[in-house]
Amino acid sequence: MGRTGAEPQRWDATSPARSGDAVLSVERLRTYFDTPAGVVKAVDDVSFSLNRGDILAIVGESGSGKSVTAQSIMKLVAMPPGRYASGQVVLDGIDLLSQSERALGAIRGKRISMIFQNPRAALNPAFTVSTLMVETLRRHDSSLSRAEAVKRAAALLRAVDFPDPERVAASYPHQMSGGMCQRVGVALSMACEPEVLIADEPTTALDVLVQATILLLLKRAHAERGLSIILITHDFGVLRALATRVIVMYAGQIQEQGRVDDVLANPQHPYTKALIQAVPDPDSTDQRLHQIEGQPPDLLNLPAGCSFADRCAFVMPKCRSERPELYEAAAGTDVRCHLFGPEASAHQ
Amino acid sequence: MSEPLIKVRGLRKAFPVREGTVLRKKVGEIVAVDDVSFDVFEGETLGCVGGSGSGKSTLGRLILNLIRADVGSVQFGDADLVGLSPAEMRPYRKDLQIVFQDPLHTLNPRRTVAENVTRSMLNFDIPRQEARERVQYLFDIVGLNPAHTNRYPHEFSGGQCQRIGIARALALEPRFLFLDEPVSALDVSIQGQILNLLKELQETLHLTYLFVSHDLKLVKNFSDRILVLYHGRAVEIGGSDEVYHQPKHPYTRTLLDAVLGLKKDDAWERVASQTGVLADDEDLESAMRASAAARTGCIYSGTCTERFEPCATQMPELQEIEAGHAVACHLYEGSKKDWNASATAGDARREREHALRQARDESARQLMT
Repeated sequence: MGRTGAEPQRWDATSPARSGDAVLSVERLRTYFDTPAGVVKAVDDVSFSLNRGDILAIVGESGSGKSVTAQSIMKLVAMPPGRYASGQVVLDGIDLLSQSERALGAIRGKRISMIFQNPRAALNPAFTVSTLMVETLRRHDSSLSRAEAVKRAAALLRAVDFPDPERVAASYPHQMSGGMCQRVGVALSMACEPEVLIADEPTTALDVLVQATILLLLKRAHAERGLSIILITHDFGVLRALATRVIVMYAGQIQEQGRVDDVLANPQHPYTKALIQAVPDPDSTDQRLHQIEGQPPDLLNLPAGCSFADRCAFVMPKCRSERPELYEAAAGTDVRCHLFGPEASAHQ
Repeated sequence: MSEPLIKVRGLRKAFPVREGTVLRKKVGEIVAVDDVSFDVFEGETLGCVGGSGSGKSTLGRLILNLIRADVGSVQFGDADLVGLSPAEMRPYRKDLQIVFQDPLHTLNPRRTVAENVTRSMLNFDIPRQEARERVQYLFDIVGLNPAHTNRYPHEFSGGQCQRIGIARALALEPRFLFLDEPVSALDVSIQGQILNLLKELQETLHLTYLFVSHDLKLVKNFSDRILVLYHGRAVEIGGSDEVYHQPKHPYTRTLLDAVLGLKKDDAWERVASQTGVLADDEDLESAMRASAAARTGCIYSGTCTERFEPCATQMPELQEIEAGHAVACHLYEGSKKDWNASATAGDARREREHALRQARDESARQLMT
């Protein structure tokens, strides 16, 4: 991240340096929704790049724009009411947002694939697992015969630890537990050897033991296939377990980004600090939890200044009037907060 | 310790599994709660944890008699709630209330929140005027603006809806609340607000809680004692510090190892590669099979890494091994031998895991070529 402290967020100056080994880069993405009540800026000027072999976590609460960012990368946002107000999603020099649906069909599932939050809803209930997998495999490789595809499907199911792939292949989604459905989801997403995997809250609906098995599958796919992963989550434990880099989002914007080790050990943004404190500490004897005061932001009615100002413990007059830029707060960590602005750093 | 408010003894509930479209012949059953006994003491929070399908929610609903138990008793005061008809249950409804997981969907969207909250009071013949005043008071204590009582549920955020759900549960001045995953649908920043509110209310209104959650870190902090369920069986119960920091049952230990914290810790990976696959491999068919077969031996013996001979033939009873800390495991029976000594168990398991791993590597190689 070759950005310096005082410089506003500007992709043209920095993207060549950043796209060194980037497999996917998102440049100044703005995804808006036109609603009867007004324009919701779900993603508002978000830029980042995913380096080859990285696991990049995007954390945030509901309404932070993390899932819309993920959907925008695949150009999956429903239009209307959604629209891409600006920005690019660049994969190998191609801007995905300007591609036709037909061209995207060859990319989705083949080069970028996705795992969804609700594993059962992500599988078509009318077909068996075998049908779903064979369809996916043959969709992207028309030379593959049905028999070969069936064989490959079995191998893929075995790779996600089903000891008896034939039985699973013959099952319908409703016959399986949530964890099994999600493992099928992982197998499906791996079917065409993608370069990038987007995992949107892959373990939120699952209990802790099943969560561990899914995370291990992702970790293995990452290690064995050199897969690059964007992991959307609200759980700092999941992030700690898998990710190498993290982006913290709030009200459609990046508030903090950096290496996971740095951000967790030394969070800079007041929001990141508060979020990390809100994770219950089992060693604490206090039955009360750290709580963040106030309500999540209303995206139709964002304050003029910093979107976190109303809930922030360090709020200054400037925060009410002026929206902060992303500033470099420490080596490799960027923070959208006036505490780290050019004037503030003069005091430090 | 205070007196038990609720005594649960030998509670069992099995749901039938039916097949066919006309005759709906019963082909088997899934035992959701099996022979569970414990006390809930006045003024405490009893946390209840377990994987999905362990019977946590069913247990709470059985206590409230929302589901009819097959066998067992739920002693509340002088009454046994099991088997009471809805009419007979009515006097106890005031004392036993529930807060649901999904705050928005458990409020009637076509009624104002005031109407949602007063409904139960009108059912119990509290005069309309008094009920209306009480809503103002309830809104005040759950941290909502009493001027907003005439709004509709959709005008509130998730956290606010859960506050309304709590206000509704408190309307009849209950003594016991069953909190069924009350914060799992809420954002991290809001969870703390709701749980702190529940703690405050517990102190000021002298409430007793049964708190169900799949987030063990939350349960540890929020509860005085923890009950661990596995496939409908109570496998461990004790003070929350003891259970969390010195778990005895192999399942509890596995469950706690899988918890992801902020510290770098690879325990979850070990758990996932050891037990995860087997713990997760459950569709209806295998659940039914497990339900029937495992009733002969220990319910956890199929997945346990420390099983030995008696585990296959006999389900261990829940027995106290330290003051206030009980566990259902053969490892702690008789000689109370150290669990570390039983390392010989689980050879067959390890073989199976090895075979699985080989098969996986093999298919990975096939895919590469």
